[in-house]
Amino acid sequence: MSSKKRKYGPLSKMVQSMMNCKEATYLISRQLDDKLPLSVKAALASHLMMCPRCRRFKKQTKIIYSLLLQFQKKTFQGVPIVTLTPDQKDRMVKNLRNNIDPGKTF
Amino acid sequence: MVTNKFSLNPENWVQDQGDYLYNFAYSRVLSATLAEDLVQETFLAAYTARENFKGNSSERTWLTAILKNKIIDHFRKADTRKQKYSLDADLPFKRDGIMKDHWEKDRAPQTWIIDETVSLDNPEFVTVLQRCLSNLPEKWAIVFSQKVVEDRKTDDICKDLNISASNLWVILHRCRLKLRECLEIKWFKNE
Repeated sequence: MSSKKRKYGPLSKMVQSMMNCKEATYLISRQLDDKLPLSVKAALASHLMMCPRCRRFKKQTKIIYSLLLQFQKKTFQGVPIVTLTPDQKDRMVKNLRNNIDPGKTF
Repeated sequence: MVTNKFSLNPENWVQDQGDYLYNFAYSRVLSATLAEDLVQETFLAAYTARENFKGNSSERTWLTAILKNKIIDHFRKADTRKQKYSLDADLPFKRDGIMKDHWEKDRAPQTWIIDETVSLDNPEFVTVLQRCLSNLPEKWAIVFSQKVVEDRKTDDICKDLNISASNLWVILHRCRLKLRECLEIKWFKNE
């Protein structure tokens, strides 16, 4: 039953038997970016009802997800989150200078 | 003597555009050293192609376009298929017994205290987040960044990186497990 060709092969296996946390965290992760079939959603929901650790995993994964989206948004708006150190900048300027033909004027 | 209509002083590029390009690169490759290399290469390539530069207002756009191509080239060189999935031993789940594949007690999610220190405006937090992102295997980081940071369509990523959708989901799962655990150990446990 581990056919990789069927899109939801492994998922339907998760619905049939008792879902474990490895499967649940997989589905929680997948659910952030993809639609789960209703039966799978329902099975995940009942696992979450019984498993506070996976509930925490879900909450925390969403927090990380939103932080990374913010990172991208701020970057797009030109708001620096990570910055080059003065050393890194010096290194870059030096490298640029080394590659410029000293004979040219500009 | 040829006069250009804009200043092409390399010092200005690094000072004016360095942080922006570095952020751009970093958000896509999730590695500080790799991001620095890509920005460096961008400046060098831009200098070589400076005759093509048309005007000041598009300098950032122009440099970013060069950087985007460098990033794409880098992605193409990395073969994501070769990255082995972490052995199950790396996963925080029990390997055997009646509770197989349930959380290992010591590695199960603890309660996190989310306060104002958990923010991208907090340099200390950003440093920890960066460190945890850099722990992701390089080839996985590419997949992770394209999906989670850039929010690209699954089909597009799979086509570009030559992986199946199910590979992608497994990679994201592994990345999220690793990232969560790293943040908990390095930030939230030290409260």
